[in-house]
Amino acid sequence: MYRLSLFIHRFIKLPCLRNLKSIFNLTIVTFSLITLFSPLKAQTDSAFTSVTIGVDFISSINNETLNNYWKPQNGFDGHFSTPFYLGTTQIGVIYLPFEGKSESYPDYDSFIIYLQWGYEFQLPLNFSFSLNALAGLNQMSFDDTDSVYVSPGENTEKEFSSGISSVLGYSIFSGWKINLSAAYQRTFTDTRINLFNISLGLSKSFDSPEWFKDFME
Amino acid sequence: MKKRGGIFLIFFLLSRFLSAQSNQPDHTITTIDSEEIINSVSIRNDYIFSLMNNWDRITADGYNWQVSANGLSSFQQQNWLVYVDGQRMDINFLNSKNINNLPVLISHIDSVEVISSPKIINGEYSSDGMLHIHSTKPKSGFSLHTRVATGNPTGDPGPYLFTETETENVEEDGPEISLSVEYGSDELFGRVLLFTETFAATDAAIMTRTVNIPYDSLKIRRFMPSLQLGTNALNGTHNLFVGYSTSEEQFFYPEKHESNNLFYIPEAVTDYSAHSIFKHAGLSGFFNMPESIELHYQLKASGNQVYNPNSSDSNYIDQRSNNYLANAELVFNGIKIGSGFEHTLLTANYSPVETGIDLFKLYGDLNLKAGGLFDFGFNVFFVSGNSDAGIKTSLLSRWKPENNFIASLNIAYVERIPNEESGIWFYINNGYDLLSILNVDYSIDGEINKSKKITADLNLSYNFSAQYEFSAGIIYRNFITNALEFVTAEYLPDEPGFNTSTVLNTNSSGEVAGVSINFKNIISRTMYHEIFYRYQTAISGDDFFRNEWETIPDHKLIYKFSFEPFQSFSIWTKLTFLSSAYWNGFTDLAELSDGFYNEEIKPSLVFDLAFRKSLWENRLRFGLLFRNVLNNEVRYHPVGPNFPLSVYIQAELAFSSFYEI
Repeated sequence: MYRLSLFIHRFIKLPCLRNLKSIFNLTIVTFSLITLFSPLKAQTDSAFTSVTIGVDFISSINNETLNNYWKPQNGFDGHFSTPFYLGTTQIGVIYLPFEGKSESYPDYDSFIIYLQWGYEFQLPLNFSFSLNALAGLNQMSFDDTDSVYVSPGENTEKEFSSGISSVLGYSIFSGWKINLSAAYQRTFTDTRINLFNISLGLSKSFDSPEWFKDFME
Repeated sequence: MKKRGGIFLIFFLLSRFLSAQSNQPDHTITTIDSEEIINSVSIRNDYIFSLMNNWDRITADGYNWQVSANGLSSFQQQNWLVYVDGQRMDINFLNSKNINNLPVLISHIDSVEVISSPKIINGEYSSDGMLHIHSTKPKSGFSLHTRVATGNPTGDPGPYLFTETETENVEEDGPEISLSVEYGSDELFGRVLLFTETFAATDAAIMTRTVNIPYDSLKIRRFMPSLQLGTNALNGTHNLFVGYSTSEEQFFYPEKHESNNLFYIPEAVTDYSAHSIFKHAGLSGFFNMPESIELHYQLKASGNQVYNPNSSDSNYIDQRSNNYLANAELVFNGIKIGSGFEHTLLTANYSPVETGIDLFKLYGDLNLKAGGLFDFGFNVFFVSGNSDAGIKTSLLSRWKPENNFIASLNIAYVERIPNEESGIWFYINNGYDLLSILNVDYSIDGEINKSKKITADLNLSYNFSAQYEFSAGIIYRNFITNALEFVTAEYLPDEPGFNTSTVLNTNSSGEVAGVSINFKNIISRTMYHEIFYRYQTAISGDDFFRNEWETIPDHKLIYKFSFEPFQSFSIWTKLTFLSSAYWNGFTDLAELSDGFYNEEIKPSLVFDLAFRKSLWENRLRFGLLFRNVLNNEVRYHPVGPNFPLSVYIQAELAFSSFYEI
């Protein structure tokens, strides 16, 4: 009985359980997976039937710890997407340069290679709205850093990055679309890098060729 | 000796008079299939342990794992066995038995049989658990497979490296690169594998306890080529396996390092930086003979070597062990009779003596069906060598009153003679005083004799319907006598390092009991989820025994969810809860290290999430694994690494014929 009470006491005091945010995240992830992918069969016919290529102009607008040392410059997001079994999947590269605020902080270029999944809702008047989640690798290439690194000659850092975004789209004509998006991006360095980006871009959709559908399936 | 001969005579006579044999499923064996390995995006061989519900595991460096198989042993004794296609793989180095040293690629694993209670299998007695890896059979014709996998544990400094908040760099995990060429036909099949693996043991917890080892030597680099050949000939199947696994300088890593491997020495609470080499050549298989008799055989030669190439060190070790094994058994009508012989030759640079150890084995296994509801199994395994002998025996009874309900009880008595053991104390007992060479303070209380234990496993399984499967188990272990060490380690913050002293109690005893339940719901043809809970604890024993078993968490809860809506796409998740564990030898560790280390392993909650997508008609396969999505602190050892949120990606390219390339 004493061991049981000790266990319950320890379980309740469990640091990870005290962290309600963790539980919340876990619940969201689990239920999202189950609910989103349950009606999957019905969606499969449209999978990989079209491809979309786009480019966005990005501006980082928030102010966080990183901004004490570096100033983000404007960048670009080049992406390629196709309907998945459910929703849409996208791969892309985000390029964002950062300028050091003093000579101690070298300029660096951030390249985030990412994989994204999202779901698009069609709205009236040729508008659409999508919610997306992405995961990728943030490669940061620094200027003039040979003396600092453990392995001389290496001037890059790589770290996992994930984020969420919402995109408001407006179809112009023949598969062309204007996209306005807001995104929150977190890079999991020891001190996290949290960026809030807005972007404006253009995309073009095509029917996918048969070989592409065969390849993806 | 006459008595033991009599037992085998009884076996022989029974075989003449009893023809009934058991066809019941064997509940002492569970199987991990390739589907689960693939869907969970398992990157390295050690990931198999995370798929085994009733085995516990710890690691001090993230690469070498110690396991406790269903309470059959504590983490100290790594006498569990691993087989690949019917051949025993002796991958022991010093205290380590690292499944990652096997020259077998996880992508080539078809299934893993997990034996979690004592029984005779493959010519051995699984007194401490056994894994039997079955490799995939190559497809018809020539085929080619290549794979790259790499992981990124989070927590790098990133740009903050240049600021006052600078932190240690976190190295990538991997890469793992392999290339294999295969050939398959009805009569002949084979595979040539070239495989290299790297792992960075550069977590701050490891670097602090290994201040004398250069940073680059904390990286483990292995090259593991192997050749597998099989044939369906001579009225049977025969497998040749030749494998090599080395951490010596490799052409992939031309930069010369002090070593490419680490061995955690628990008696010193530090690591030994060394090279290790494992060589194996074996032949195994069976012949079908007249009257439904099968002759199974295994022949193998293997060698292990550990040495530190930095020969100027005073603690230079070149420790070698060569093992030669031959085994044959007859299987007929539910009866198995076999015999084996093995010779182990030990040598070391610091001793002029070569030690030869012989083990002779004789065993019998009888399975009988008694009416429609019951069946029984009884086995005896006798081992002798170097003027010592031991016996292992078990009685298995199964009751199947209905098609959807089975109850089984396995009771075993096990003696292990000292020369069946492995690890540091095995070497010391044979005159190779490794701990003195490593300047470790130790004493042995008593004389190392054979260990004895009684085990009991009660398992119940009930299938409510095709969708709902329920099973429960109760285990009881009585360790009548076994050798257990206790390491007292005092943290020295100024060094930093540890002041240690070790006592080996050669006559430790105690009892362990546990209960487990498992519930699986197959929601649809493409979706299932499963929940497992286990409670296990020491219920009696001396201080050595209780201290050792406190290092294993009492409570374990696992939830798995798998969804494979298409052959080309799957989602797999796992949630694992482990209760706390305690290492009493690390006195006041948290206080002395200012919270950097902790003698208590805190409870952990780990959520893993894996996605798999194949393209180009399954020629191109991608796996994406998020480990510890919640980024909780996860440790298995007081001075071991943390496992933060990590992301792994795996890409495989497979051509089923040369015409496709």
